Amino acid sequence: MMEAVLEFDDVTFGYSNGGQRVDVLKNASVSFEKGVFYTIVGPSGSGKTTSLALAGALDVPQKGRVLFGGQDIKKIGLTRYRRENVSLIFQNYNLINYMTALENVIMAMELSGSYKGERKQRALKLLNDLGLKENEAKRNVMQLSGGQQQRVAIARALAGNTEVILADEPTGNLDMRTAREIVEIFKELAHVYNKCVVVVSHSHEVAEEADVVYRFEDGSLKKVSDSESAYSNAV
Amino acid sequence: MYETGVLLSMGEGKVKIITQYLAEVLVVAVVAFGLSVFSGKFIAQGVGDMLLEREIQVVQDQGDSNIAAGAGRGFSQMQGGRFGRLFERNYQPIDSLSIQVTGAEVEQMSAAGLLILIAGTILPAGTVMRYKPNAILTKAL
Repeated sequence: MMEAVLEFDDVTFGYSNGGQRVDVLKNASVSFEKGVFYTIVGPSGSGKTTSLALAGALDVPQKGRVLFGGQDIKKIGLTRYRRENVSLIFQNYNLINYMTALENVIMAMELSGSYKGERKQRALKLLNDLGLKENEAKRNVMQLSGGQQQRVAIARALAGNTEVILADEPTGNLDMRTAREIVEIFKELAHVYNKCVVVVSHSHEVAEEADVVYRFEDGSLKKVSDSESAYSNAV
Repeated sequence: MYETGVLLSMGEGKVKIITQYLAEVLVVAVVAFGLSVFSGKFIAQGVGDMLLEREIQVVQDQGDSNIAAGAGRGFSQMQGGRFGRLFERNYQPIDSLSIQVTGAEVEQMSAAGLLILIAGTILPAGTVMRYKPNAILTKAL
């Protein structure tokens, strides 16, 4: 059994809705390993995106801990953890929209301090490996299609060379064919590059391709070995 | 706000982000202020001349009409006009303005401008950064 790289230890998170407290996560404990492609499924509002935000240190649990390599991410420092240990991919890409695709990727390398001295070549290769030609890489991201922008976002996530990659509905805005290609990239990242890939998705296709599927149930994440049944139970 | 959320989500520090914003604003400010120091004197001179010319024209027009009126009603009435008051109080009419911008004034304006820039950058950026990155990204969209 591989060592867990990312863990939720008794995590509780909720919010107030009209004076009434709604717990999205209730004493949730779950662990994620390197080299595995995970999908988290569940109905809208069940807490999928919240759990990803907590894993990515975009928010902090009200109770419990998020651990990276066995260490509380608060002790690592949330900013440092975001910079060095985890990368996020969003449904709406969240690229810096006045920059080119290449500049977005180079900026991520500068932030993480990776590939010093060879950033431009590395960024171009990353984008090229993800299917963007050099002339597309040098275009402003707003001039690229949704699929291309998502590839740039994936390249940016890989630029920091982090062990954990978190993606929130990464295929939500893409057509079926492009979505399938993106899912293949995630599988490759887990199986070839030994990354821990966690994808939150509504998509049946994404859930089917995952190695492990977690389903939200009463504020906690239940591991489901059969991805097909996980999806049918969840949605 | 959107960019702040993205940068925070990628692990950029709050101080670094604010420093970057300050640097961007300062670069623009230095260029703008430099241009204004050189062009300010000429623009102010032009505006001053234009205002003075207009004022002289107004005084002259009023003077002409008062003279015309005075011919019928006597000189004492003519003195009640604006032109008349000038004679009455023994003012010397200004026929030119010389606009000067001194080094001390440039320094004062630079210091005031710098303070406004720093406050105008840090206050809104600091307000946004009180939120968690997740909240910033959600609010920005």
